[in-house]
Amino acid sequence: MTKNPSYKDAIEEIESIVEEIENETVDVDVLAIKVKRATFLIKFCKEKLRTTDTEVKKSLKIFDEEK
Amino acid sequence: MPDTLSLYELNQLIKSVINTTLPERVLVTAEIASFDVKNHCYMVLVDKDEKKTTITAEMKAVIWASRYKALSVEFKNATGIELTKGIKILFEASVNFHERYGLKLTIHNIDPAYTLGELAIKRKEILERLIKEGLKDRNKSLEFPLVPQRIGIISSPTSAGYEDLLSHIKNNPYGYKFTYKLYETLMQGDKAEESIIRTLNQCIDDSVYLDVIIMVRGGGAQPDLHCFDSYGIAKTIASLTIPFISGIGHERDITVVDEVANIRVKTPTAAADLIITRIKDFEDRIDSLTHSLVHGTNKLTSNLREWLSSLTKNFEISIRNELLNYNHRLEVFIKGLMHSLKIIQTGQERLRSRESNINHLNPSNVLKRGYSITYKNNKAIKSISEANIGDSLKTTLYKGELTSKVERKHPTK
Repeated sequence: MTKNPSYKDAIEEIESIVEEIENETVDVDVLAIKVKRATFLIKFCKEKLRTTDTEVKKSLKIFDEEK
Repeated sequence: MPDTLSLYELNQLIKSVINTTLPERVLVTAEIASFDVKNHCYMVLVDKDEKKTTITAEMKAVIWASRYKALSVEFKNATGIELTKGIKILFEASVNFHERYGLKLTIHNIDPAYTLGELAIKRKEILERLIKEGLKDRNKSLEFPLVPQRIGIISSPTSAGYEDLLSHIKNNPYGYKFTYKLYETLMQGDKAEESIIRTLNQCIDDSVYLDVIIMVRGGGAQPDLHCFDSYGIAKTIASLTIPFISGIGHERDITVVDEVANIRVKTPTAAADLIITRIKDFEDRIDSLTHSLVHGTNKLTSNLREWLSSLTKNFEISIRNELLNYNHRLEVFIKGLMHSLKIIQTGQERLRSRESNINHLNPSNVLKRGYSITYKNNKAIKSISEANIGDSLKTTLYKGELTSKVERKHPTK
């Protein structure tokens, strides 16, 4: 997945991975890949919460954000 | 034909009729059609027909400055709104006729309860219309975003409310970052409605880049919320595709804007708290999932390790058993093999001995060692009894044969 997911998509994917792991329905072969993906999404969300969206600022023509 | 009067005389007559026929004070209801304060307060009052489209009566009115100051404060304290154009009032007035300036009402008192009632009726009518048109709960039906990080703020830039909101979201204790844009508008007065609708339309244009819209008002102890009881504003809010948060609220009044909002809060600070709490809830959910992920993965890998370990153990046992089995079979096999070898060896030895014996038995080998065979009538004889004196005997030697005659017989000693 190259495009950054939305918060909603991200948390839904994390929830689905966690559920698979908790229910032990995850295939052992893909466990590492799934954990890696969930870790990436968690990190992505937490970082995004603390980052200003410069693209949106540009689109909204906001130049005085720190006013 | 009656006597001719000068205009002044006529006006004097009118004045006298008014003064003598009308009570000193009358109670009147009317709508304020125009409102202007220049020291004194000058108004034009109107009445409209049932459809409220045609003016059926109109008269000028004044509140003298000496009375206006107290009256306007009283009115605002009681109703929460300013005396302004567009509202309906019940007032106590005297009807004055001036020979030069004509007819005018001088207002002495205004009954705020009437206006409140009128406003409530107007608000009710607007709400009923919004319900009928399916607009009232349209914004409420929009899903509130998980992370409202991009905020459109409708306010006046100098308002205390805007400053409060910004200060709270910027200084949130969790370090969340926001993108926000101020959509400037007038928040009170008779141009406020138009200004707010224009601003809301700008928000609609930008809504793809925004998560929520928050409207906060200017502040002040006695806000004029009159303009927020507006069908036009409510309809525009209903056409938003993102949730609208009303932060214009007041303890006492719920305006039409509050009614159609996705969420209504009482203060700009409460609006900021709502946003921050929503994001914090999201992060808490992420943190809880992180914990579950770590715990679940540990449990799963630990189970897997146990399983693998037991599998290895079982494997070892089974391999060991298998090996032992093989070993045993091998030993048996080897034993068998050794036994067979022994048999073979014994056989070989026997064979060799037999061969040797056979060699020994070969007459040619016997003859070679000096023995000979004696035949009588081509039959080998083994005892002297088989031959008589004079018999002709043939003797086979290793090399060649002899023919001889028996001369004597000597029995074995």
